[in-house]
Amino acid sequence: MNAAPFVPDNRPPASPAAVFAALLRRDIRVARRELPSFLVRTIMQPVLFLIVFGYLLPKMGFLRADYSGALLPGIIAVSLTLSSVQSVALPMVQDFGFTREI
Amino acid sequence: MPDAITTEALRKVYPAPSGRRRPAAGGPGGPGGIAPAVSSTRTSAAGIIALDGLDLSVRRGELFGLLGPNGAGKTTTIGILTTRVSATSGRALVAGHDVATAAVRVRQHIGVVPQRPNPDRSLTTVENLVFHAAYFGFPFDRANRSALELLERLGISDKADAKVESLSGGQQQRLMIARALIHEPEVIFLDEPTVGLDPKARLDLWGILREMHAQGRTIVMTTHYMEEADQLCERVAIVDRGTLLACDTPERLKASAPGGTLIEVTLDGPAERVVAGVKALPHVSRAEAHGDVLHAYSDRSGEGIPAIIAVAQGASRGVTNIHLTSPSLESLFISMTGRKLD
Repeated sequence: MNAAPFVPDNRPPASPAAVFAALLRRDIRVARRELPSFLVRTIMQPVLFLIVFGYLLPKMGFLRADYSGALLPGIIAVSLTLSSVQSVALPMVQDFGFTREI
Repeated sequence: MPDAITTEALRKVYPAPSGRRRPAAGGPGGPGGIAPAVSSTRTSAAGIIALDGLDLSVRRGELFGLLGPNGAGKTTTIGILTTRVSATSGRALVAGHDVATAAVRVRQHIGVVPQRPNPDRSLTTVENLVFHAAYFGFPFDRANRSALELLERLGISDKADAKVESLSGGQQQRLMIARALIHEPEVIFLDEPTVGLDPKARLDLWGILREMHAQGRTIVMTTHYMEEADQLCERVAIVDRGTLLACDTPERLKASAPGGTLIEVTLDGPAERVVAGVKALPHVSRAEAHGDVLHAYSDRSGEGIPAIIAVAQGASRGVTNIHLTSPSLESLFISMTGRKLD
């Protein structure tokens, strides 16, 4: 370690905008690095819903033909709810829990 | 110049336990998250009293040690000073700012090394530092330069681009120290920094702390290792049950320890029936039985031992082990609190 004496500074705290930008930059970097798994995670579920409720079940005769009209808003709502839970609550649980990152 | 840290009548009462864990920041349970020993914390109708009117002052540029057994309130103190725990009453100033009303200002002037490493696990080693500096408003290129420099100084530059998970415990600890330093803070807090480190990593850490100290930073560390506080710290505060028992240089604290050398004699049965005989011996100022172990304080280091053994044999007790502790913070602590640091 160098022996440069430490000089206390009195710079003002970073602005909230700068901190937000830094946090956003961190999130973008992590998201980009984990892009494949991120895409699989977000796209797979609506696609599976679409296959099961839009194709398989009507074909097998479990659903009426006009059911597909309710499919789009349904899938959007379910994806919104689940992905917001997954992207906010679960990481929080992790960070407060065993990794203690917060 | 004002002190780096001042606390006045700091009090913290945690809500009465309801089977729930105490808050993580204040949990004194140590690495395993074990509940604090009942004997070391006091409970009242209002809850668990972790701090009971603590007055401390740490001068600028000082290497200050907070010493006490598990559950003494060390971690709670650090939690309050680092703005993670809010005090029930009392006032605390860090680097001239009140932790309750100017928490952001305080955070800017402190670096914290937590009890357990908590790096950002989705980033690499160097990114951990760069983004941490960015959260404090440092431009990225400058942060990058000082991050690489810090990693070099702390001897983990070969791991700069490695995932944090691939670092060993000691390396993660160094990363935490680097993270605590990257935003050029004035006061550095280390909460039990050497718990879980191997002896070499521990010595290395002491070296790092001494160098940080030589640069003129204020360092506050908690520990329950006596020799660590003794060798490293300029001033030591002994805390137990949320109050300050003593606060002075290790030398002066040791000088105030009673009775000089502590002779610990392990017997092959309860030591009670030996106490009276040992107390009557010349040179022995105090004698106590702790189960099978006899504690005798002698003002002449080893001279009383043959007499003590004779007394023990006279009471038909065999001696299985003898241990001498020269006047130390350990013997002082035992005499102050009546129990050992674990």
